[in-house]
Amino acid sequence: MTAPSFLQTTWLIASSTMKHGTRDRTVALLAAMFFVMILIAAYLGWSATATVNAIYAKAALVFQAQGKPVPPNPVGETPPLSVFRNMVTYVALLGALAALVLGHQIMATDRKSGIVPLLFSRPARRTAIATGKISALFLTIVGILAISLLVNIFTLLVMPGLALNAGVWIGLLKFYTVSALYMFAFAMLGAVCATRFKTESVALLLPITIWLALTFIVPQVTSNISPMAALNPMSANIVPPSSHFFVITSSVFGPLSIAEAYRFLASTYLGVVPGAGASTTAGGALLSLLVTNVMLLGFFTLSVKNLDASRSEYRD
Amino acid sequence: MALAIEITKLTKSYGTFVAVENLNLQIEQGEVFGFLGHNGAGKTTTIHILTSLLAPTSGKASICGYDIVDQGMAARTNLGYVPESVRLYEQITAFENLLFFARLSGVEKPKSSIDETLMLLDCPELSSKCVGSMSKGQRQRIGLAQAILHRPPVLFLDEPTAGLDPAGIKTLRDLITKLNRELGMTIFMNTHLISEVSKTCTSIGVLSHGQLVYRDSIDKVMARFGDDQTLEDMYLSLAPPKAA
Repeated sequence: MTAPSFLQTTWLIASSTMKHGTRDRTVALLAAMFFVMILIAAYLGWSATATVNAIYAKAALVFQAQGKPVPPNPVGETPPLSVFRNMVTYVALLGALAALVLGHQIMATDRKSGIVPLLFSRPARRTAIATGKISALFLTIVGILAISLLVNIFTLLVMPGLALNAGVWIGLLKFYTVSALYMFAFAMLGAVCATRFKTESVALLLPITIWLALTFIVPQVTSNISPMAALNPMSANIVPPSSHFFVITSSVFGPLSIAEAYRFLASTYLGVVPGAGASTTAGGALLSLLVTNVMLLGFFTLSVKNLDASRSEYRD
Repeated sequence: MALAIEITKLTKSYGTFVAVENLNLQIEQGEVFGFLGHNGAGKTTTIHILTSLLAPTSGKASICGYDIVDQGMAARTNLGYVPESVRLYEQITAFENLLFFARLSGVEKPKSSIDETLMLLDCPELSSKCVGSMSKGQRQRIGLAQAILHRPPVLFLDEPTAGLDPAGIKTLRDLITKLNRELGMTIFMNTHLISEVSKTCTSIGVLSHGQLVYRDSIDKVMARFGDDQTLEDMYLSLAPPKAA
C-alpha cells in the first residue's frame, strides 16, 4: 500500500469539500443572493443606458427637425464598464460576506462532523489537506465570479450604443481578478477563524466583526470617509482632511484598509473615478490585497498543521 | 521481523499535568492487545499519539518499524484507527464515506475494496444507507470498515464496545477476532472493561495514572488470577482509580 501523493490528496480534499459545500444551505443562500444582486446590477445598468439612448434618440430627432447639429450620444462618451459600478458595492458587501461564510464552512463542517481525527490519522500530509481546502475555496469563488462575469459580458453585448473595445474586456477581467482577490481574503479569514477557535460562535462572530470593521470603521479612521461613501464607487463628496491625525492614521492603518484598496482598484478598472480614500496608487492598493491574501494563506496552513485533532470538535 | 508497535519512554504532558509517563511497551505482530485502565488513565492519549493525532512531549514510538514522528506518513499507512465515538459525514451514504477514506488511504481499487470489506464485516446492506440514519452499532461497523479498507497491519480501537448493547458487543468481539485470525492484523484495543480483554485479547497491559503497572499474556494472567471476578480484583489492585 502506498500513500497518495500530495497532489492526489489535495484534489481529493478539494473535490470532497466542494461537494459538501454545495449541500450547505447557508452557502447556497448567500451565493443565490449574490447572483440576484449581480442580475439587478446588470438590469440597472442596462435600464439606465436604454433610457439615455431613448431620450437621446428623441432629442436627436428634435435637433434634426430644427436644423441644429446633433451632439454625440452621451452613452458613447461614458466608460462602458461604469454601467456595472453597483457591482463594487455588491462584491464588498454581499460577495465578501458570502466568501467569509464559505471559508468558515469548509473547516467547520469537518470539525462539527467530528471527522478530523479520522482525516488526520490517514496517510495524508496536513499541508496537502490545507492546500485542498484552499483549492476548494479558490475554485468555488472563481466559479461564482465566472458566472457573474458571463452575465456582465452578455449585458454589455446586448446594450446598444456602448463603445466596446479590447480595453473594455481587459478592464472587466481586471475588475473580476481584484474582486476574486478581495473575496478570497475574506474566505481565508473565515477559514482561519474556523480552524483556530474552540467555539463555533467565536469562530464565526470574530471574522464578521473584522469584516464590519474593515468595511465601515477603518475607512473612517484612515480617511474620514463616511461608511457608505467608503463603498460608493463614485467620487465621494468629502475632501480627505489633511490634519495630523488623518496623516498618521492613514499611513499606519492605510495598508490594512483593504475595503478601501478594493474600492479604489475596482472603481478604477470600471472607469469610475474612485474619489477619496487612503489608497492613492493602484500598485499600493494591489500590494495591500496581495499581502493580506498571502498572510492569510500561510496562517491557515499553519493553523491546519497545528490543529489538535484529538480535541478538534467545537465546544458549543 | 519488526515489532508491530514499539513504544520507548513515551511521555505526554499538558503543562504540569502528565497524561502518559515514561511508557515502554512492545507488541508483537498478530497480538490482540488489551490496554486496560480506569477513565483518565492515559489510554486514549496513548492511542492519539500512536495514530499521529497528538505529538509526544518526549520519547519514541513506531508502527511496523516506522517512527510516528519522523516517518509519520509511512507509520499512518500501516495503521487503521476507530475512535470511541465513530463520526462520519452524516449527510452522505456509507459507501460515499468509505470511498473518500479509501482514496485518502491510497487504496488502488477502492470500490472493490469497499465491497470486500463490507462483506467481511457482514454488513453489505449498509453500503447505500445514509450515515445520519444509522444506529450506534451500524456506525461502529462502518467506522471499522473505514479503518481496514487499506488492510493495515495494525488496528487501533478506542473503547470499541462503548455504548453498544450486548448483541452489538458480541458481534464486534467476533469481528475483532475475525480480523486478527483471517487478516493477521495486530489489534491494540483500549478498554476499561475487564470482561472484554479476557474474551478477545492475547495479552494485556494495565495503565494507571499514565504509567504501565502490569503487562503479560492473557494465558498467564488467567492462570495466575483465574476467572473474570478475580481478574477484576487484580485490575483494581493494580490500577486503583483516584479518589473522587
